[in-house]
Amino acid sequence: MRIQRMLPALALLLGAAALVTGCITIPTMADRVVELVTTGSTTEDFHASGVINTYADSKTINASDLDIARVLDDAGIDLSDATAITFSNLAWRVTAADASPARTLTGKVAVSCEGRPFADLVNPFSANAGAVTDWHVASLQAAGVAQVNTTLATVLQQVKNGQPVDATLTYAVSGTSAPVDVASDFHYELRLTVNIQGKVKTQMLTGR
Amino acid sequence: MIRLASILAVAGMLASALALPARADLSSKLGALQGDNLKGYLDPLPRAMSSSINSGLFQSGRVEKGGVHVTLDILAAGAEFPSDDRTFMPKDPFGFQPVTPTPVPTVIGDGNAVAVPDNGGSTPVYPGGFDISQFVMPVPQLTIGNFRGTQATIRWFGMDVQDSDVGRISFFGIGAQHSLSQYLPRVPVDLAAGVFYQSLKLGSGLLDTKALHLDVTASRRFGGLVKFEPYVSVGLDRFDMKVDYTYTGSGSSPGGDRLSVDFDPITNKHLAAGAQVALAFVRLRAEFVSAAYNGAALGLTFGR
Repeated sequence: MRIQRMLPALALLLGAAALVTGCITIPTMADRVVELVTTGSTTEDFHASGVINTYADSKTINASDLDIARVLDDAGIDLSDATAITFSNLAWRVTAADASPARTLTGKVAVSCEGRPFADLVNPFSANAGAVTDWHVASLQAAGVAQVNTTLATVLQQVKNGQPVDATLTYAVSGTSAPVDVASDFHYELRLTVNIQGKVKTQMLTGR
Repeated sequence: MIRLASILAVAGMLASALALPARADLSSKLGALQGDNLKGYLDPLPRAMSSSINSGLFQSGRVEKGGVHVTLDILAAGAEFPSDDRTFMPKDPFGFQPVTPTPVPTVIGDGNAVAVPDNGGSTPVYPGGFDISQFVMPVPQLTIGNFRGTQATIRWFGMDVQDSDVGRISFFGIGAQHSLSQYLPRVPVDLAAGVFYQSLKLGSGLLDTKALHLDVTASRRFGGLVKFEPYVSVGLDRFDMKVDYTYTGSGSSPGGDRLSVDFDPITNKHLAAGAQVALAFVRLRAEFVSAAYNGAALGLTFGR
């Protein structure tokens, strides 16, 4: 067969290949803007003790503990390209168990950001404090989450503007523990985790 | 003509098409993912890499019994991502159910992150993808032969990727093709059986892949000064992928936790049809591939 007669067949073959494969093209550099997600967290320790076993405790943290600038830097996101910071989850764990293995607690967690009225953050819960536990993610209330998110947005703006972070979050933990006739003495922690999103411009080598 | 060094440099960069971007490297994007969600995010990669890396290995069933034969190939092998692979359904990392089940981007999907609130009040956010529709991998390939109807082929490159946490890219492959025609003189086409093993690594274990390819190639050569040789091959691909990365998402230790995820091995048929045109010491070839994904390979070969 003469080569001239084969070339149309080859062209047809290549055309078919290109068509079937969606026209794979010569690789080129292409700009891409991708949105990364990283997380930051801050953990607060609580100590439950006493004989009454009806407790109400509160702790205030400063949002600067989240160290947003460092978290973004670690993820390779420029501060000016941070797009959002939102509440991810609240988790708890018992770090020092009560002497009574049967120690349980029932309660709730509310939050107040920057002096606003307290809003429920965690649905009423029941937990065992008689043993050290791993982290458990709490079931949350929308009102408290919304309040935290409002504050986080303010914090992000402060960080982007180069201002010192000046925003507080106060946890109010209340409830009861049992057995009631034995003094309780255990430690637990609450960990607030936030999502931090940011866009990064990149160049990709791709066929299209 | 583009210098070989330039081609290889581009080849290295293309290999990192997975994750080359200056600072938004793959490990950063993986940081907030773990377990099933990491597998879901990277799910299109093993099939794309399997299709690409196993393409263009052998372009002829004609393997002469002896003589000195040395060829250098510069190949670009690519695969088209199906649009269905641009998203996956995430599994809530906190053990709750999503309020509204929502697909989120895979590594090839849309660049925007997606938040999927759950019925526990938590809101995991999933990273965006690199928004690509094709995976293209250039490969340098050297073939040396022949001894008793057998020729050996190697693929190799390695380079450090600057401005990226990816670090070093190491790619190595070795295989051989053995003439079957020498045992089947009456068969009207040239036949050869091939086997090829390849390994591609990014960084210190960030991505570690291994590929094995087996095939039989049939071809027939026509022409005189300018030769034309169509070929088809039937084979089998197997692809293993492992990812080691630092998990920095919710619940991780300060500085992150080192996690390792093994992907299920992929085994699939590999069908290829192509042709090459040869003039003196230069050959141009193209092939269509139906494997884990559909794809194509283009190659330029020097030598004989």
